[in-house]
Formats: sequence, C-alpha cells, structure tokens
Amino acid sequence: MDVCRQYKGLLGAQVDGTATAEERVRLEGHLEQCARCAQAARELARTRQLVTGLPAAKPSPRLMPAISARLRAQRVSPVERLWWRWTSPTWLQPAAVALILVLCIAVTGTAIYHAGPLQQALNRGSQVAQMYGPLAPGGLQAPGDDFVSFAVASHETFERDRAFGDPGGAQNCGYVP
Amino acid sequence: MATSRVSALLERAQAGDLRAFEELVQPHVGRLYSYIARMVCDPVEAEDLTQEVVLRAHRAINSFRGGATFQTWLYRIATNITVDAIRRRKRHASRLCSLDDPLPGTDGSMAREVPDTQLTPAEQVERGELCGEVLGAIGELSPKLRAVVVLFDLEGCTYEEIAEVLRLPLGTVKSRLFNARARLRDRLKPYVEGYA
Repeated sequence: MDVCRQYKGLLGAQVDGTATAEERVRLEGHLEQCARCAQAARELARTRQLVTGLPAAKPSPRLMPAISARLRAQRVSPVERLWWRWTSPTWLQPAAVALILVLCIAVTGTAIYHAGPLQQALNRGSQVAQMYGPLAPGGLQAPGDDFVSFAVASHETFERDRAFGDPGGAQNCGYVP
Repeated sequence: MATSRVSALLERAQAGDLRAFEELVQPHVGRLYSYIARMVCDPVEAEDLTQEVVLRAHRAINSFRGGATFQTWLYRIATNITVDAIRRRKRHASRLCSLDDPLPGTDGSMAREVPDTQLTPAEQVERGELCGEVLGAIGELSPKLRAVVVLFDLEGCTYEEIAEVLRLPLGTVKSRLFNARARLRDRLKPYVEGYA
C-alpha cells in the first residue's frame, strides 16, 4: 500500500494527460503488478472522460448586449479609478508592512518610557517586602505586605516630586522605615 | 488577439475608453459564462454573475498590472464572485441543470444547445440523464474542488494557470484535482465501475 501511495502523483498526472514518457513507463510498470491501482487508473480516466464529455455551456445571445448596456449605465468616477490604482498590490503591501512596523516601534517605545519609573518603584516595594517578610496570617502586618499598592503610591510620589522640580524627592518617597 | 493589440486596448481601457474595454473583454465572455455556469449549475444565475464579473473588471481595470494574462485575471474575479455566490446561497441540495430545461428568454424560450446530433433519441435521453448525473456530481463538490476540476477539465486551463487564478501552489492544484476526481468517481460509481 505504501508503494502504491508513491504512485499517486503519477496516477494523477497520467489521468490529466500531463505525465512525461518516462513517468508513463514507470507507472505502467507498477500498474502491471498492482490490480488495485490499475482499476483506480481506469476508473479515474473514465471519470475524467465523463466530465470532459459534458456539452458546452453557451450564453444566450442577449448576454453581451446586456453587459454593454450595464457598462454604459455604470459610471466609474476618476476618484474610484485612482482608488483601484492605489489599492493595487504593487505598492500597497510593502506600505502596509512599513506602517505596521512604525506603529509597533511607537507603541513599544512609549511602553518602555512609561514603565521605567513604575518599575523602579515596584523594585523598591519589593525590597521593603523582603525586609518585612511574607504576609502573615490575619491581614496586613507591615507596609511591605501590600508592596504593590505601596509601589504605586511611591511612584505617584516620585512623579509629584519630579513635577515640583525635586528629583531628589524620589529618594524620600521610598517609605524606608 | 495579438499581444500588442491587447496592450493597446488595455491602455485605452485604463484611460477610461469604454469601447476599448468592451473589445478587450468580448472574446472572454463566452468562456467566463461557461466557467460560471458549471460552477453554479444555473444558467440564469450564471448570466447575472457573468455580468457582475465584467462590471467588476471594468471598475478595477486600473488594478490590472499585466503580471497575469487578462483572461487569468478575469477568471480570478469570476472565481471570487462565484464562490461568494455559492456560499451565499447556502443550499444543501445541489441544483441540477437539466439539458431539457429551456434557456430563459424574453421572447420565448430557446432550446439548449447539445452538440452531438449523431445519437438516436433513446441515446440522447440516456446521454441527457448521464449529463445530469455528472453535473449533479460536480455541483456536490466543495467550491474549491469544483473550481479546479471545472477549470482543468472543462475550460482547458493548465496547472500553472489554475495556480495563478486560485493563488495556490502547483502541488495543491494537483492534489485538489486528484481529490476532486476521486470524489466524482465515488459519486458516479454506477457509470464508472467496471469500465475497461
């Protein structure tokens, strides 16, 4: 059966009439030994014969006049003509890729810029948490237990000090006991 | 039509010359209709869709860059419109186009053209039934398999042309064609089995 699978492509080419002379010889060699594939080849060829034997579908003589009438009724504005020219894929796809790249860089840059001070405050809160140990049963025991809210508060203080022109204030907002 | 003539017509059509566009598209209308009719299995709908394809091609003529042949480009538009139409219909049972059905006409119906006139009436009836079965089997294929088999077996397109029309790798075209044939063989078993 695995051997037969290797001949599937050749069988298709044979039925389609696209197999080369060398491919036909190879396939014939297999078909002589495999009755199952030989039967499949005959049935597929007959199937193709049935399809290609269908009568041609011809349009009524009214089709082309009807198309002409509709073409005359359809007005394509210069703007639409330009739209089709612009949206053709020759330059649209590279432009779309470039735009996506620019947007990604902008979003990432903004996120990094805003994440810096907050990350510092979070780190500081984490240090405090380590000093006071983990959350004890029964609720908040020390400022470091809820170090995330503490870090956010620190960040707000940091921002406020910076807004008042006191960059050194950041050193004092760390809630160091 | 000579390539230089096509290029000249295309240039004029892209500049907005309607007559040039008509001259450009006219030689392809018959094949477009034939392709669409085999896809939708409905002569009336096929005429409507053929009109739609030509109108769409006219609106989008400026997007044609000449990378593909004009006919391939038209087939691509036809495939998109036809597959959309088939999906829209969402019919569970395929519609058969009986060769006995008259073509619609405003001035009365026209007889459908069946080329083989050498057959006896009994043979013609038998042949008509067989055609109905084959068309029904094609209509039951999924649109993607149907497009490949119709383009190859009925429109005479090559693998490469089909790959370009459907934007598929060549290997996919070949395997879809094989699968389509296998399904048709199963569906048409009584007419195929034991054939030597």
